[in-house]
Amino acid sequence: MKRRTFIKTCLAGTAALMAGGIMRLARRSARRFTRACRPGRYPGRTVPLDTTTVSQQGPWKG
Amino acid sequence: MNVQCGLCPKECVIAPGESGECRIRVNIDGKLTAVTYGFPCSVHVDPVEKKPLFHFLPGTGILSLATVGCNLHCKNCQNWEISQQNPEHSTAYPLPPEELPGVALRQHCRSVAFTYTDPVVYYEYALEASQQAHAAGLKNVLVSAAYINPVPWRALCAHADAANIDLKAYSDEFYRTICDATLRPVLDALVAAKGAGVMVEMTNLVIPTLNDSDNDIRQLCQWIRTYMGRETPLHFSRFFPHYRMRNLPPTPEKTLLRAREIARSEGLDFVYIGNLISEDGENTYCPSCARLLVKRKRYTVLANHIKDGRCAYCDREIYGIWQ
Repeated sequence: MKRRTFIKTCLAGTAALMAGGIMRLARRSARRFTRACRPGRYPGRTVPLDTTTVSQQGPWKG
Repeated sequence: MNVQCGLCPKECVIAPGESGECRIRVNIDGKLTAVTYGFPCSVHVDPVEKKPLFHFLPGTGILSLATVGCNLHCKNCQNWEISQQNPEHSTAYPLPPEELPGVALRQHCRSVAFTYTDPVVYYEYALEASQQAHAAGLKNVLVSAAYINPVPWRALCAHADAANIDLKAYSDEFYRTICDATLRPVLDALVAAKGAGVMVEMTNLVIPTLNDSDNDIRQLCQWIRTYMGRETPLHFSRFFPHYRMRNLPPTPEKTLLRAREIARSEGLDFVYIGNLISEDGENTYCPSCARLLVKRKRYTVLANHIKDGRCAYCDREIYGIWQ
């Protein structure tokens, strides 16, 4: 192997390893998850929870 | 400043004052805020069979709650009045997570279900409330489409005992065109839930012409058998015209019976038919001796021959949480 070919191979290998590392880091940082905050108040209307309503079956599926 | 939500695969970039696709995760002063945290729009005691969960504390009541909003926009959504509702236009009950176990215990419930819309979007509330429920000796149930990223999903599953997860179709095209989502994250979440020790039951809503061919059903069942295990209960549910899909008829009974036959021929042990009054569509049979174990009529348990999680006739262990 000529010296030039050897250097080219080394450079290509290093570049490939770096690219792989960067891609892995990018993927990991994209998947990082930060929890959302609790709101100060509800944006809609609020009413007190009614025990009678709670004890009834829900009108929704599931 | 924009914020990015990393909760579900949509990973919405949200401008100040705006919300993500789910309508409830809002950028308030540069902070991602879950505006329905502690504010459910619906709180009821349901029979656990309504979730549907057939292998979890049969015959008991379950405190079921939801907030408005959903990260999916299924054209056939059965609960669209709340799932596609803006929080500003809704009415909610102030119910902080720490007060939830008290409500469940006063209603004589042994478990809490995060259901109706999707606990994925009210993630922080469901997570905190399920921690509180566990601390009070209650069990937790997730009823979800499981369109969520792996890291938050693992944290939620760590506090879940059981789940009913929708697999809407074994087709990415179906998820893209009907639900505004993709298939892969749902499959990954299903496998992760099972791997985390959650007792998983699955539901497939069979919609005429969209996911009801023999091939559709067979592929779905083969995936379940391979990746979830043959013991995973599967509920085929009947479609009724709803929301933005009123152009299709209800699923014929024979389609559901055929789906059940295909699932059984593919080796699944527990296959049920829901949303349809039928003779034996909701009964549990022992996979070994074929005897009737649990007889159900709609949401009522008429007979239960499972003793300590085993068939009372042949002693085979039956998948589920029975006490």
